This record gives sequence, structure tokens and C-alpha cells, in this order.
Amino acid sequence: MAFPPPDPIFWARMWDFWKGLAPLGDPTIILRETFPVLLAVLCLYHSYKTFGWWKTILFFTGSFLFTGIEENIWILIGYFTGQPTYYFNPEQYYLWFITVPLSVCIGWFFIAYSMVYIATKLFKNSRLYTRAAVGGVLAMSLDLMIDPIAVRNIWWAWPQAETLATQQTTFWILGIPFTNFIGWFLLIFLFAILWEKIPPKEEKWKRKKTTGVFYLGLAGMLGLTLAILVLAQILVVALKVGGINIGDPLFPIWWPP
Amino acid sequence: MKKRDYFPILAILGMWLITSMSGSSTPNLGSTEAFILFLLTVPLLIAIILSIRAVYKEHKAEKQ
Repeated sequence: MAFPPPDPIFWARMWDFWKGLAPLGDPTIILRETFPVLLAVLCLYHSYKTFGWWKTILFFTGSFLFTGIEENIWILIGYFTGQPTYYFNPEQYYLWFITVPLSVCIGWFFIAYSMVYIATKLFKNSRLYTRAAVGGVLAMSLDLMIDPIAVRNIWWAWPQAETLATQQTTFWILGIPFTNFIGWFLLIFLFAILWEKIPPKEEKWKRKKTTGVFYLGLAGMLGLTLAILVLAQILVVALKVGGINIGDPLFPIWWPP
Repeated sequence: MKKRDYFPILAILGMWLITSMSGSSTPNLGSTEAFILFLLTVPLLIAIILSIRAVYKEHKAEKQ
């Protein structure tokens, strides 16, 4: 079963903040768009009171751009190569950051912030890499529940997981490619390292230089994440590792024809 | 230490709750599958409980 080509209207409106494909006034969409913002406000308030405005802006923009750009690149790789990676359903979200819903990018902020915070509380005296790894594993644990529920509700889809041939030859879990979970771990792990390494240098480097180094580091981390994900993708395809099949693996094709 | 120290933990707990609620109303999610999904988030739930405890202890230590 081949995945149909993506909705041409969505791609024509790729750069639009408002793509106008989701039905207006749908309470479930409104809730899905609003809830992450409310949770992010809790974390923004905590961050502002604890670290001040500069570090809060750095964390918010850093996590938003890091994850948002990574997701966009991963989606666009699939679009331009003709081998779809994954897509968000344009009929389920109102506001967009190119091809990724804004609420998803905001969600990444509070997930990253909370995971770093929880890992710090639990492993206060451990090394930075241990704390970052704990944060990454906890984020992955959360996504092991989010992703299977999301694809069954058609909020987003992994088209390559929708063909039986792919499911029999590549490593996937609950209808989700394993590389997705590697991605979740890497995004939180690498961002936590960057966050704890760069901003504390402010006293030595001054604010302007620290900000520049932080965003440069972010670009480097982004390149590293994408390189690891591409390598993992090549490996799982080459090794033809079978996946774990729980429940009905084939979901209905949802993308508008 | 203030009550806001619980906010980042509450944010993740809120996300877990809303996802679980979405899962319970997902039509094509079997009960075995739903249970497995719950089990996969047990490490996160344990971490949430332990971090609430850690913050509570910090508050208590500061009061004394």
C-alpha cells in the first residue's frame, strides 16, 4: 500500500503561518493548540523567576528553534526526496512554523525545560552527561505514549510505517519508526548539554558573546542530530531488523487525496 | 523556595494526563496496547513522583 502524495494545498501554503485547512471552532483542535501554551506559560514563569529574562529567552528560542528546525528538515527531506518521512495533519492544527504546528514547537520547549529540571532534581550530584541522558530517556518515555496515540488520532502520520513491507523489514515500535525515539532522546540530551555548558559562561564571555556561541552551538547540535538520525535510518534499513508489532499495525491512509 | 518550583513537574504531569485522556478516547487503540503504552511511561511517572518529593524535601530543609 503506497502512501498517497501529500496535499498540494498544504505545500503551496508551506510558508504561511495560517494555512486555513483546519475547521474553525473545532473544540478538540482549540484544546490541542491551547494546552501546550498553558503548560509552557508555567515553565516560562518558573524560568523567568529562577534565571531571569535573558536565560528564559535563550532557553525558549533555543529549544523552539532546535526542535522546530530539526522537525522541518526531517519532514522536508521526505517531501523533496519523494520518500515521505512524516507529516502533521494540516486539518488538525491552525498555527504553523513552516511544516510543523506551532503548538508542537511550544510543546518541545516545556518538555525540554521540565525534563532538564526533573533530571537536575533527581541527580543533583551527578555529572552533566548523566543528567542530560536521564532527561533524554524520560522524554523518550513520554513519547512512547504520545506518538502511538497521535497517529491513531491522525494528528500526524508516519507513511513509511503504513506499508506492510516496511513494517516487516525495518525497526518500528507501535507503528512508529525507531529513529523517532532516537530523535526524542537526542534532542533533549544535546540541548541539555548545550544549556548547562554555554549560558553559565556569561560572566567570563559577557552576554553578547555567550548568546552568539549558544546559537552557534545550537546549529552544530542540529547538524549532529540530523547526521545521527540519517545514519540510524541507513542502519535500520540495511540491517533489516524486524519491528515490534502490537495491535493493528496498518492505520487508514488519512492524507487528503 | 516557592510553590512555583513544582510548575515544571506539573507541566509534564499535565502533558501525561492529557495524553492519557486522549488515549482513553482513541477508538482504534486496544486495551492491551493501551496498557503497554501506560507501562512504557512508568519510568517517567516514577521520576515525576521522586522529583516532587525532592522539591518538597528542599522546601522543608529550607524552612528549618
